[in-house]
Amino acid sequence: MTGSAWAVASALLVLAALDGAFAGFRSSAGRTGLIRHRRGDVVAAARGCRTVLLLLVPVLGGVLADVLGGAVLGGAVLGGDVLGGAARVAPYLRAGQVMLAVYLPYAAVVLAALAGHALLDWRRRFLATALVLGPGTLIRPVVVLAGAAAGAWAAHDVLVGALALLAAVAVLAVQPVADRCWYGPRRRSRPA
Amino acid sequence: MELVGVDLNATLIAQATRLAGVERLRCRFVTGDAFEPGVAVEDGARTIVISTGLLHHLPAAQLPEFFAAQRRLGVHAFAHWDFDAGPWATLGAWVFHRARTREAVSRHDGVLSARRAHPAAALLRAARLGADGYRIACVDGPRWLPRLTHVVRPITGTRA
Ligand SMILES: C[S@@+](CC[C@H](N)C(=O)[O-])C[C@H]1O[C@@H](n2cnc3c(N)ncnc32)[C@H](O)[C@@H]1O
Repeated sequence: MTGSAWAVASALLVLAALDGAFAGFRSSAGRTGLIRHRRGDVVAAARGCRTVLLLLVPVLGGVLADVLGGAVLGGAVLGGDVLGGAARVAPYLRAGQVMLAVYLPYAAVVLAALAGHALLDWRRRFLATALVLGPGTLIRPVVVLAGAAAGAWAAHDVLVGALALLAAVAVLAVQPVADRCWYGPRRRSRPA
Repeated sequence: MELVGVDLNATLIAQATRLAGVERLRCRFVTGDAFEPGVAVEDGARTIVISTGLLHHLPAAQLPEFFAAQRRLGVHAFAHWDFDAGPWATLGAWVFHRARTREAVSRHDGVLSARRAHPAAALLRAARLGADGYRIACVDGPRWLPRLTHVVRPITGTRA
């Protein structure tokens, strides 16, 4: 794999991990009524992060099997990388770049609002929630699916497209999974 | 200074008491009508009454009595925070409750609460009627102007 492919893959993974952490936080937020809940927030974020990475294992497995399988076959049968591994990387790279083009601006806005939330006084902190974080949470499923769909489209490859969409579903599943496993109404006796 | 939380709802009070115990907070909670003599206010002159999100639960006709009860107790001051009603508050409440609450009833009630909040003029009129002898203040912005840092604002009264 080329350097840019690694960079795109790592950036997507970091974004997914961050999104998972926030999804875990949202699943737990406001459930206990406690004033001091930092520790619970950190545990919830870690759970969300772990959950998204776990849910993405089939996607990562699929990508690696496809690319490495192609490389092995390419190496063994064709004696080179041209029709094998490198050729299989290209559609992933195209898809990943398009997905990043959709996700990075969204992530930048959300992270800027979070920085504001952390630094501002409570009145302006509310502004960050009302103007950015609230609407950001509302449109998040659309952004996640739109990025994956655009990536799938750009890849011109059925398998790559399917894996991009599967990754989007994995990301969107984190909060429902966290609700079910740890924080939902039936699990409330087990807060972190 | 002693902090006393009052609510009509015994379930809320039980939960508040439990949570305060968990966090070792120096306050206590009482079930009952906050304005019934002896329930929570023992020495009116040394009491400040504050509430958040209560006023919109009262119909306009009951507002004067709400303030009169505090005058009868002789509280030193009061400050009651509630929504600065208007289209922007309603929209903000919708976004906030969609994003941050999960139960259908909270999402419904949150928006309804913002919609039925009383304008400052109505609160001022009721407070002047009910709490004669108090200096009353409450300010709303223009309805058309989004005032995102003033989603809730207090009506305050101090014994003149
Ligand atoms: C919408 S809740 C607000 C709760 C809380 N202050 C908050 O901001 O989340 C209003 C509460 O006021 C309580 N309440 C209304 N009139 C009251 C009174 N006269 N004495 C005590 N509690 C009262 C109701 O029982 C209700 O729980």
